[in-house]
Amino acid sequence: MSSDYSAVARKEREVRLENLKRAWFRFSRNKLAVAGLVIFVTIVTMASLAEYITPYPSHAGLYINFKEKYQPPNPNHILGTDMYGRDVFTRVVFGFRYALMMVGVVLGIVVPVGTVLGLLAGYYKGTLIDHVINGASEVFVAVPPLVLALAICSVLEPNVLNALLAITLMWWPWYTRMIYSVTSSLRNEPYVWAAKALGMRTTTILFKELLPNMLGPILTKATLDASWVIIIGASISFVGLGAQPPTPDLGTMLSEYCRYLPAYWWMTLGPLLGIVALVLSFNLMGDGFRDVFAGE
Amino acid sequence: MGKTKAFFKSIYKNVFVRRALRSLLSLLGLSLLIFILARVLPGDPIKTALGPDIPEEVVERYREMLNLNKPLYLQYFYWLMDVFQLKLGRSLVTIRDVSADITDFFPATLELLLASAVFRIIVAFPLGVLSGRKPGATMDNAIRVLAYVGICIPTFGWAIILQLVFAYWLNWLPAIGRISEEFMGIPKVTGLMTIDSLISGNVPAFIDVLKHLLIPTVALSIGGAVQEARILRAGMIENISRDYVLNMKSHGIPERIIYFKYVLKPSIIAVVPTMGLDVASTVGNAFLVESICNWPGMSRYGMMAMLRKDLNAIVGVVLVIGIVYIVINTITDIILYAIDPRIRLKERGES
Amino acid sequence: MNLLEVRNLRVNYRSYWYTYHVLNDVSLQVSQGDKVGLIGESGSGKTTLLKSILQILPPQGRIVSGEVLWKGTDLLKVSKDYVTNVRRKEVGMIFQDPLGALNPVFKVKEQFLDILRHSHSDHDKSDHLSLAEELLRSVMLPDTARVLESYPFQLSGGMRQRVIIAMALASARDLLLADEPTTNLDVTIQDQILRLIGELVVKRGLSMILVSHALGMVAKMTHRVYVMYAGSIVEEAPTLKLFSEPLHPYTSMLIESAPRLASTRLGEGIKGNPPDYRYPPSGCRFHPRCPYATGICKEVRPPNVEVSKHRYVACHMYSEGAGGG
Repeated sequence: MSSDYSAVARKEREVRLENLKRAWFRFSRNKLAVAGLVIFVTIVTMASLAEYITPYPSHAGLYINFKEKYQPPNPNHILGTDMYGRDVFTRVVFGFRYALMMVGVVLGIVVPVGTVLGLLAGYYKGTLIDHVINGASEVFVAVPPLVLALAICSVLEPNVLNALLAITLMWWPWYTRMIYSVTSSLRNEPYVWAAKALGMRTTTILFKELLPNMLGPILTKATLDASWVIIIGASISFVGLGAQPPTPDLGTMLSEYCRYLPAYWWMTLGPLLGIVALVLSFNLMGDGFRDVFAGE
Repeated sequence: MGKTKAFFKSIYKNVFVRRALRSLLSLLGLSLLIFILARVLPGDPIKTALGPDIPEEVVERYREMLNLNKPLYLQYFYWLMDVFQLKLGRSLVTIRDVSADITDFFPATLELLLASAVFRIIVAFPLGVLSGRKPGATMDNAIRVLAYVGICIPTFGWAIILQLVFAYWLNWLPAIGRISEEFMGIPKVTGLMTIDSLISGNVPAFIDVLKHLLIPTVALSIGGAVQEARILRAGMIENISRDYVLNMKSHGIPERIIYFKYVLKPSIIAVVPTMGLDVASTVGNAFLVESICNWPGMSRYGMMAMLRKDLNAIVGVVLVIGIVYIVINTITDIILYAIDPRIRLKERGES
Repeated sequence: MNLLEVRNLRVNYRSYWYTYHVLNDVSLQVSQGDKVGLIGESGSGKTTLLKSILQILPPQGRIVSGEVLWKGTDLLKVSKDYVTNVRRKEVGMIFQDPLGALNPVFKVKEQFLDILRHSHSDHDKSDHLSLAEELLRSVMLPDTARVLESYPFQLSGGMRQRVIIAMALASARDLLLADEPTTNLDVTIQDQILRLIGELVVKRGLSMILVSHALGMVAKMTHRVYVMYAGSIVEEAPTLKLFSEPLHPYTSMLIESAPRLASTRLGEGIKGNPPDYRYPPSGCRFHPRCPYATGICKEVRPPNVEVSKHRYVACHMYSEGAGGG
């Protein structure tokens, strides 16, 4: 009996691997999605090698050279320089680090936790577990996400860590609800019944039967929402409730630089382009994932 | 007696009321959460709000006045009592009741919200319908590109770009504010300046107000509007291969009627929930846009409260925004109820 | 002259990735008063054929070549207005899925009146309502007021299908295309609906193409049957002859696989799967599943041969020079 089952499981794994290959093939045929991936990989590479590839790594933080201030874009400073004479391009590349770190941390916390919560609430639909988890998530969606994030940040100290906390609290209900709705529709599938009838443990059903079948939606949701995380994060630091100057955070830079509009517009342009590039790459990839998994 | 009871029972049975009550409960939960978060933070809220150089006895007086010397649960209890009297406590910065402050600032935000809802409808519906009619045509591709641009630039990015282009470079529109100084005198009736200026018959003032309204409105809604156009387009393209469309075609019904009647209605029904959600979250994005455009609304007030750690004002604004959220969601539900017979007739059957 | 003659019709569906070669040189004739059956497994292209006749394929579908002669006029060459007029006043179609074929968010009345406004444009506007009621009564829906004021989801599957039949009758003054009119209905009412269609067709003097899996009903209701496999007509014969003495291997398998000549679903009984329309088999499209397939079947497409009077079959076993018989 159990050997039969493991044979079936092995077979399933093979099928899954096969599906994964096919999914990758279809993803790679989607020009826009590949463009998104290329932008993303480029940004990650640039951010991780920032010290080596940027022309003026010392300009990232506190650095003053008034002789070079307010230079419009030129061969030495492709995005110009700011009010302290710092190279905007260098700072934007360092800014990618903060943005990516933010996405990494928030996703790293919410995806595992939200997956477990969503699976539990969906699997035990209609029970106390479901009501508690959904009731809690309702508290966090009672106001618009940005308001929630700003409100949390505002009552705490303004720094990067609290901004991360705020974004995490803002995003988890949306992610958990997605897992919840997928789970509550999958729980009536025959293979779940079969697993129950075979007397499999609930954890096995949740993580070995249900979870592998929602990797597609998870990947899509996480990728698309990564752009949301970036925008909310930038908004928090833009208003001054997140990272503080001279941290080269994209939102912080934007709020510092937009005071010099319209005369020194290139300063604002740099961080804005940075945000747009990141958000665009996540959206393109996310749409690509959605198309790949929707077609199955 | 029995009649009143039946009346309240029937109200409670109403789906909208039930849903709104549930949301209200969540909102109270949220206010508690923020309350707790605010009290566990180190530092003295009064000193943060008023500055470090304030004399100790003044701080003590404020503490007394704001109940800050009481235990946490009592503080929340007092605050709740205030809420039920529609007072929301006192602001540390303006030293006025938060509810009075919000009453002053709310109409400007409401005006912005209404304008952005109108803008969404004006932009999203025609764009979606046009691009869905000929998928793959130039128009369709242009809208697809625009949609990507729309979601990739955050609302505050739009505000900055629009200010730069239309106010500073082209000098067509005012960059900040709600009305020019020369028209400040128009009598206040509704608090919505577009309407007030029309009531007083002052057309130049009306145009001036519209011009001020344009940048924040577009910044708030352009990204969402294009996004909604895409959803509408996807719905129309999906519906156009459905059997009921083929059935209509098999009867020789003109394409025009099929498209603009039989395909459009179900597609609009599909886009309404998203639109409602988007309009509702405009209240959130207004925080940044109002600050950038110096729009004297509640969100800018909330933003300033946040920067000064004016706790009662923060919680008050969040609460009011939560209520606006509930109202918009309820309106969305009612619209859906009105236009989608599947929802209407099913729910009537239930109660 | 034939009322309808389809000649060498080829239809493709295009998706983003692939082209599906669905109809492969289909020809078919219906003369005045003729009741013709069209049978074959699910996915053999029967619905596509009916939709091509009225040119109501979904946007992905393309008619590649062929002719659709309606009363001698090629509908693929004439103006749109001409085709529209045929759709409005001459040919009616009953759809497979009674829920899907009615718009979920409009009342039956609204949809019905829009149809009548065009099919009976010569009538006065005020007549349309009574006309709709009359048509609904003719399909045994006596409670016309309730049906008209309902939304489709408030009606049962059988009632919805009756509404669709009534709508089809409004436009069908010469020909009725019935596309598996009972597939999605309860077994208990399948016979009722088919019998109703049979009666109405006779009463109104219509010609009909009936697509159905209920072979027993097809046998009762039609004079002639076309057998379709993978987008080609493989056999054509007078109904009784076809069922008593099928010629094409596919036809025999199809008839055998029906448990009884009753209204049960079918299609599971034949070994193998219908072909992949992206890469249809060469030669005879049936050869991968055919027990009698020989070398020639893989290479040459069998011609349509008249074996005896009114009996045509496209199979190498019956071609000149080939063995069997």
